[in-house]
Amino acid sequence: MMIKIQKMFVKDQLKGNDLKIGRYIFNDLKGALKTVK
Amino acid sequence: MIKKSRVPGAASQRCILAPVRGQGYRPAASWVYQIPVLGEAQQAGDSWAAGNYGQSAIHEVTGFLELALFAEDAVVSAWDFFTGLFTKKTVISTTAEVAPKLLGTARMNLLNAVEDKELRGIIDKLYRADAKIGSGSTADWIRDVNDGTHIQ
Repeated sequence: MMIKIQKMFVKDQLKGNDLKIGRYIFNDLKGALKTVK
Repeated sequence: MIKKSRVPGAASQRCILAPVRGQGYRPAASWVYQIPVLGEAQQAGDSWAAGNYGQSAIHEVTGFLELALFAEDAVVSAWDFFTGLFTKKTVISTTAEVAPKLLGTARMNLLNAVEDKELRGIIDKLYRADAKIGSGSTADWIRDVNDGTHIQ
């Protein structure tokens, strides 16, 4: 899912609120994965 | 409150005094309508014949006030019970039950805000509708499990 969202960023597909939501989900997943031991 | 009863001629702790012409206040020896004495009658230092009712008068007044308050409570509770029969029952819910309805879950808020169809599909997959762990997001599940063997 992170890769899918990243591809959407690269394609510049997300604008305005959608971009904020995409960043929020991406960063949330990224932060969660950092906690994994 | 007012009752008819026979009072013994001898002075007693709780008797009611009735006026007797020329003799001041004496215990009534005949049938009279009486107001019950509340509290202790004839306290030390009280002199009813001299018009000094003192402590017993205070007991009487406070006793009546207590009875009045008790009666008021009884009337109010009876009225509440009566009106409650015709009133819709209100069920008090916990904050955990009410909050998602008022504030929305993370899934609801994100799906309401998003416009992009592909991103909507991703949110639909990552956020559980009936969440038990955190906000229902996959990220919260990862934090909860905290075990690298489950994650590819």
